[in-house]
Amino acid sequence: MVKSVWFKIHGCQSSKAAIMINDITFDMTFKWWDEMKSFTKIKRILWHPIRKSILKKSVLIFILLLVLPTLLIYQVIINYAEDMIEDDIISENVANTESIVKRVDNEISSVVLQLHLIAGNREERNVDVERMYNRSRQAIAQSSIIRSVYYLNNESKVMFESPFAPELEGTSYLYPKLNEMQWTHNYAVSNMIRNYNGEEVVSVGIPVFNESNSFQGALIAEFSQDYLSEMIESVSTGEGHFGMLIDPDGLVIASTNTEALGEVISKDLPSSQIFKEVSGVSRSVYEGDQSIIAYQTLRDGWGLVYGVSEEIAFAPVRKLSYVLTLSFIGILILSFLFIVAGIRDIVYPIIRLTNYAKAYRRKTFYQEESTSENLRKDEVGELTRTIISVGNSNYEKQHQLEESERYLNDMIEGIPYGMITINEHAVVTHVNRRFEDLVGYSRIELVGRPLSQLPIKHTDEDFMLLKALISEEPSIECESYIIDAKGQRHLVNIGTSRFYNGKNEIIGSIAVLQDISQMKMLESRVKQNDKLALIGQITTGIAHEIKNPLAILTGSSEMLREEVEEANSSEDIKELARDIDQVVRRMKTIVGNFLNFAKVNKADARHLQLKTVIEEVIHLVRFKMKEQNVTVVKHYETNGEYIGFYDELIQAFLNIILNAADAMKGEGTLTVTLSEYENQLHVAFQDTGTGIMASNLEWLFDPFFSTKEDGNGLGLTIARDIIRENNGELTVESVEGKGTTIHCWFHR
Amino acid sequence: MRKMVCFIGCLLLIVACQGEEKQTKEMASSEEGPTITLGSKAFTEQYLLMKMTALLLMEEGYEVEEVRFLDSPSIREAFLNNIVDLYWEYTNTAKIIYHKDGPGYDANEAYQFVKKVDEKKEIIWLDKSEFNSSWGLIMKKSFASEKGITSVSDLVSYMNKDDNPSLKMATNEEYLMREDGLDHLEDVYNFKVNQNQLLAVDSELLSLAVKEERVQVAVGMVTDSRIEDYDLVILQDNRMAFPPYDAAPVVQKTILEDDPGIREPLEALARTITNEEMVHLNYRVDVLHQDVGKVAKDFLQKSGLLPDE
Repeated sequence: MVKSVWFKIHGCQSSKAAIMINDITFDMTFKWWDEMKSFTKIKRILWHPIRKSILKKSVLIFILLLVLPTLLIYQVIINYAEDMIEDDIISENVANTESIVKRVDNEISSVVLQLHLIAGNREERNVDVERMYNRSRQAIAQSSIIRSVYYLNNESKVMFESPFAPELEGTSYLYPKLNEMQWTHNYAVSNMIRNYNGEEVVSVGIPVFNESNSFQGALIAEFSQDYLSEMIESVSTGEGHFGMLIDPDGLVIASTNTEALGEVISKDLPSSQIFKEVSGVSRSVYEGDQSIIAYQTLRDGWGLVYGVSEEIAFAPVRKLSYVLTLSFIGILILSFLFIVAGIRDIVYPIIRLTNYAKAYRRKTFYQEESTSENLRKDEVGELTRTIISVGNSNYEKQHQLEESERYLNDMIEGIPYGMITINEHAVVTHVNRRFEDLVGYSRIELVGRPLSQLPIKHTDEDFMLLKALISEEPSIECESYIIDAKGQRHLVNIGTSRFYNGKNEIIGSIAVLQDISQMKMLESRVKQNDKLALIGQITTGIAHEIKNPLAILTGSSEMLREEVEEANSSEDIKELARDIDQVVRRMKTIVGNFLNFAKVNKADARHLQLKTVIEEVIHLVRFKMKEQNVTVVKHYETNGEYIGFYDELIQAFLNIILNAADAMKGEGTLTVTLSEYENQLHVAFQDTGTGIMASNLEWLFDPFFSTKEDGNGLGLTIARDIIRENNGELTVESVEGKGTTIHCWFHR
Repeated sequence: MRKMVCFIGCLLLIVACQGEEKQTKEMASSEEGPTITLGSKAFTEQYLLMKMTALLLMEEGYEVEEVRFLDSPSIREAFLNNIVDLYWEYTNTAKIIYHKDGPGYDANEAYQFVKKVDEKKEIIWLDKSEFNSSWGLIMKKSFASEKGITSVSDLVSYMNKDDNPSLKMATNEEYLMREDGLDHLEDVYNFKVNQNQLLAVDSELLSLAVKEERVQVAVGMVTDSRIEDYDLVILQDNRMAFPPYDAAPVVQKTILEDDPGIREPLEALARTITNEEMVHLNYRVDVLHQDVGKVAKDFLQKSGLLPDE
């Protein structure tokens, strides 16, 4: 890794090198990445379940925060206590060792001093052996450490042995330190040696000189080994301590263990180290026990070993450790209870809450959850309550939303107009059922397609919806056409409107389509009827005009025929006269028949409501009204129950309203009033048009009188006739420049 | 996560280490060499020097035997008779007592003299130390600083003033009789001590006498450890009236020829030890009653002559 970084850094310096090195770098990086990947994988495997579960997380945290620190503290305390006790034992051992060494050194010094007092060195010319004997007896009586004292002359002959042998002349004994004392003039302490009685003893001797400082012999005191052992024992306060004095050969001089006396020191003990290292501490097994041992050399060549068995020395720390173990187990149990309590009180409610949340996500229909079941008063309980109530409220809102959506949908699907919406990219987003019916395609074929691809128009320019989207007008209303799936053309009235989002940007538009083909057909038929009626009227007028002359002509031709018959005229004339009469008669019949035909058939009268008639007429003319900006105001005081000719009334009202509309050029208000007076129904059409000139009023009902350029002068005449036919009257009231009111009175 | 693993690992390690026993360091016993007999005179400084020598030679692998002699003549005699192989001797002790040549006031001359003379007797003086166990005048520190006395000349001029109360001086008996003793001091500094001013006491009591103000000045050993303890001061010997007693290891020529390896550690010790240190070591043994062996070993380890345990 480091190498690759190095390569990268140095690679930058020259591009050539970089290319060469890049491969290597890549390789190494790759390997490193592989390793990293496996590491990451392991990490993920280990970490993933923990990270996902709050329970595992909290158990881990509790372990990290409580159990592990507790174990750590336990270990630290135990180790510290053991170290402390060990240090204590070592320092106690060292101190005891020093204390014993000092005491033994002092005892030896004191024995040496006593020996000097006994010998009375350099006082006399000759040594007074008897006095030495007496003095030594006293010394032994007073000193516990001196077992016996003997005098050795310079010929190695034992002269006496205190306290029990005043004279031992002739016993020869080679005291090993005699020669040394002769040279050093100083006292000497012996090793463990066999004395002349064959006993293994340790002793101290001083050289004895006479007045002239010449060597006379040595005065030697043998130590009581029991006393030395007691000295060691007296320092050992507790059980398990042991100590021994040894001579430089390793023989035990004094010991707490009496069996070891005189033997070579146990090899377990640091026998060789004592004399080389002066003092020190070691740990080894002594008599089967692991022990801590201090050792030190004495001033005069001996060594001391002093130790204690670890089992006994560490007893206090073991007790402490026992108590600590108990208390830590207690702490761990408490921790465990704490963990359990924590999990029960905090983690489990949260887990339950999480389970609720998981279940919530899966729910697809509204189902209220009870918020009050067994929830506690604490924060978690509060949280749970809040979340459940939020969940419930969400479900409720969703429910309401669905209701309102369904309502809206029903509304959109229910209205009798085709409806289509597109988004800002002119893609169809929604159509309703009526639209499907209109165009003959299903919504699956329509929704999601660009509007211009729909085969409902001849050219793209004809898509009013597209125009609406880009037009400056927020809404357009016009007539247009569409072609349905069967290729049939429908006239439609289209109203469009645009959608805006919250930022006031256009996000689409809506078009509402009404199929007006039927109505247009009706309209043209009415016009045709008008024409026919007009022709009929003219014809009728002509017929009326012809009828009277024809009646005269009939009478005349009849008389002419009769005259010709009687006046014996030629047959030709008779025949001509008969022809004329016959033809005229036939003409009269024709005219009569014609006039009879033109009369409305009363039998067709039926029960109707004038209001319905008016409404239908207004409905028929609404586009024209709109086109001419005419506002229609309706006052219906009654439904206008009446018996009359429905179709004729429609025609009459249509003519009146169309006249009114024509009179209001530009804009105006048409007020239609339907009211009832006693036995009469009154319908009034009041416009705000130009009015009728008073001079024109008297010609108003004459056929073929018209003020309009394209009028035929029959509309109002026919209307008047129809009203009359329906047992009504039509009157006109007009103020020039202000408007005209047409009154129709219907008598029941 | 890695950190946590490390942490748990550490914990386990701590747990595991708890029961582990410290391994006792076993000193590998070195090869047994010839036994060398060391000698000392019967006072603390000599015990310390002998012990240090013994420890150094044991470290080199020699067996040693330590023998304490009562005084200088006995050790010299034993040495001449090959009873002792090695001990520490003082230059002027040898020059005055053994060679009866009178005191040598120049340290190097005295050393060269005894070295040369003893070589004829097959006795080798190794390099001497700077440690000088000489005589000196001891006063109470408070008294000396009060009177402005730092050197023997200051003391003499103080004594010569008539209006000052006459001082008392303590010496040991030997000093009164020695060739390099009181007479010599009086000659060098040109002053006279009256008999009624003099108090002869045991060597061990000299510093105590000054401390307890039984005398104002005493002739004592400059390495007396109680000087430090009793808050006393040694006057500067500005006219070199006290002969130097530099200590040096003295060894039998035969021994040195057989074992030339003993030279280096001993000369290293001689180079290392100074007056101040010797006084302090004496102090530890005499006043603090510490064990000679422990004090010697401690010193050698601290000065790097012996490896630490």
